[in-house]
Amino acid sequence: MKKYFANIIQAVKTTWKGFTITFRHFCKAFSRQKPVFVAESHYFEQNTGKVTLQYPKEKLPTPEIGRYKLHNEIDDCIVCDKCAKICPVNCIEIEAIKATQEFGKTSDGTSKRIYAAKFDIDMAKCCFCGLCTTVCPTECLIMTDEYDYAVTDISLHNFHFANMSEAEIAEKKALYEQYLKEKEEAKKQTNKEVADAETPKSENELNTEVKPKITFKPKFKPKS
Amino acid sequence: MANIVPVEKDPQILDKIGYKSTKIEDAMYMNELTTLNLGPTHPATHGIFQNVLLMDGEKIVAGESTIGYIHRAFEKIAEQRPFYQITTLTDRMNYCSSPINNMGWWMTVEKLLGVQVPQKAQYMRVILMELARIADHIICNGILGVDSGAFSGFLYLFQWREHIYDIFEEVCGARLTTNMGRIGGLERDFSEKAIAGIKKFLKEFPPVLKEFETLFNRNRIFMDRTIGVGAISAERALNYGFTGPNLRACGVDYDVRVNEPYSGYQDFEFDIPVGENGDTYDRFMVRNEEMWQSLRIIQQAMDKLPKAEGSYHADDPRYYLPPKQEVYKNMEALIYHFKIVMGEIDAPVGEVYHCVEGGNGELGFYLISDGGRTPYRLHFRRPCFIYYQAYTEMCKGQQISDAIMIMSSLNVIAGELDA
Repeated sequence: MKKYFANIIQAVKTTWKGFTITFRHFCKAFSRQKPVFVAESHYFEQNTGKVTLQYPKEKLPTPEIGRYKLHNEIDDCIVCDKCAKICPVNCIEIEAIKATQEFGKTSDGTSKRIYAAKFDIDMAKCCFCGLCTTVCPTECLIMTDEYDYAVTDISLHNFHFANMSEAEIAEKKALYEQYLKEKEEAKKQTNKEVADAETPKSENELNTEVKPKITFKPKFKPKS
Repeated sequence: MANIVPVEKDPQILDKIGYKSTKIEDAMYMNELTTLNLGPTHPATHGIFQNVLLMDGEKIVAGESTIGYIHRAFEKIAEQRPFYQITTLTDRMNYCSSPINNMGWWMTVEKLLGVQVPQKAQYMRVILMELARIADHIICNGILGVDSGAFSGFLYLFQWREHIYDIFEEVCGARLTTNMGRIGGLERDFSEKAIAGIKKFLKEFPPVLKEFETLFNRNRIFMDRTIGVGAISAERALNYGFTGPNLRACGVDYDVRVNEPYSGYQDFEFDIPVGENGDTYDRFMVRNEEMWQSLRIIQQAMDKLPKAEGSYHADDPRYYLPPKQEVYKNMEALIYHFKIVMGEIDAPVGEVYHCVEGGNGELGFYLISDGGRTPYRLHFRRPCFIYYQAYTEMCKGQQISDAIMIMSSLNVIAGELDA
């Protein structure tokens, strides 16, 4: 019988300790915590204030390197296809048309020789790993801090960054095919001339092989 | 549990249909039992796994688990991905403490390729892994309180998990699925903001943890709900293959950070908390104490970081992406960059196993490489998968609400259970 009351008293005592803590939090919860970032000097001083953010009116600040929505500055893109190849979920689709000559420069000086007929990034498939931004050589593909782009139709999450119209695409394709044809013709012509010129040569000269000239051989040894 | 008997009381009929037991009391007892489906979707389970419980009133007699509802075939997918892309898979296993999974994977790859990580990168990795361990234990202990009905402790503690997320965001860009690290170190140095954030976390989290302990540790109601619930002996636990806080609560002091130190843990001084009975209360206390020890480790690492030698990544251009300015000017850097991005890293043929101390126990990575661009076989030794087998045994003889408490205290995370 004594134990029965002792148990009750002990339970009340320990829960009373808990009540005092929550009451203390309750009394201090009249000041609102402002959403501040982790390095501000007063970040932790609002410890016992209200922590609920009134979301659309107040937002948590995101850092510069935050990995949210992708954005591609298509004028700087050299269509090297690295982002599409390293993406783990294959959410980037690129269709490239080679140009016959350099047609422009990106903002950091690299020459552009390939047109992007199609450059789609499907943010519904993206896993936000950030690998595509790491490998982009011209830094045209970046992750912005926009995380609030909900829509009701999932196909709207497939963002199109290429800015060539249908007519332009057809025109560039035609130009490239023309260029290829001309190269073929030129090659056939030179082959024919070489063959014509070679026929009166002697036996032993025909046996010599023509070795290709090596201009540069990269070394694969790491710096140790 | 396998021989469920029909609902039939007449012994002659039972004999005719071939029911094997000779004791009539057994058959009648079995007929009075009920089956409860603690189903895959249940607000109290931490993820998606099913338990069919055979119950005598409120007491549990036997149980059977079904897992695999969140199986995403990671080990199969990993056979088709080059090394850089597998980190995104490891993130999503134990998603409460994803830096530990990421770093464990990078250490495995470094062991295979023979890359030495400089000391500064090792200490930075230790800081991130211990922060992730604190985050994991915050979830486990907070949710243990919620499952027993005490919501305010969870709320006060979870705000601090937001602060850990802010630090992760400053270090790598994402909060939960961090994808941090590269072969040989990290992708960028800690910025000023990140270091300031960590220092302030170290200063301001201890009072909050103390307050949480005041709310729970000697609270008579909580103690009554958790002492003696779900006890498992050390011998049984070792037979099942437990590791981590669940094993340490049974009295065995096995910790991978001490027995097989990795990434500079031998330079830090910390204790291993050990329990006695292996019940829910011991698991709760062991995790609380581990949070204090993690804070101690982070403090020592932050003190040692300015004097640590090396930089934040290994100087090995075969595996670590060269900076972009060099890629434009230097032919070798361009070729290395191209090879790494296309995934044509020259991996040697061989097999390697490396384990780290995850939030739940020994998290191991077994990697067999055949020299190609993707692993031949990658197996994750996931602690949740291994100790979840013991769950139905721990529930025998307990009541249904205790079954929920046991599941919370084991810290079963569905992503790691099924991978």
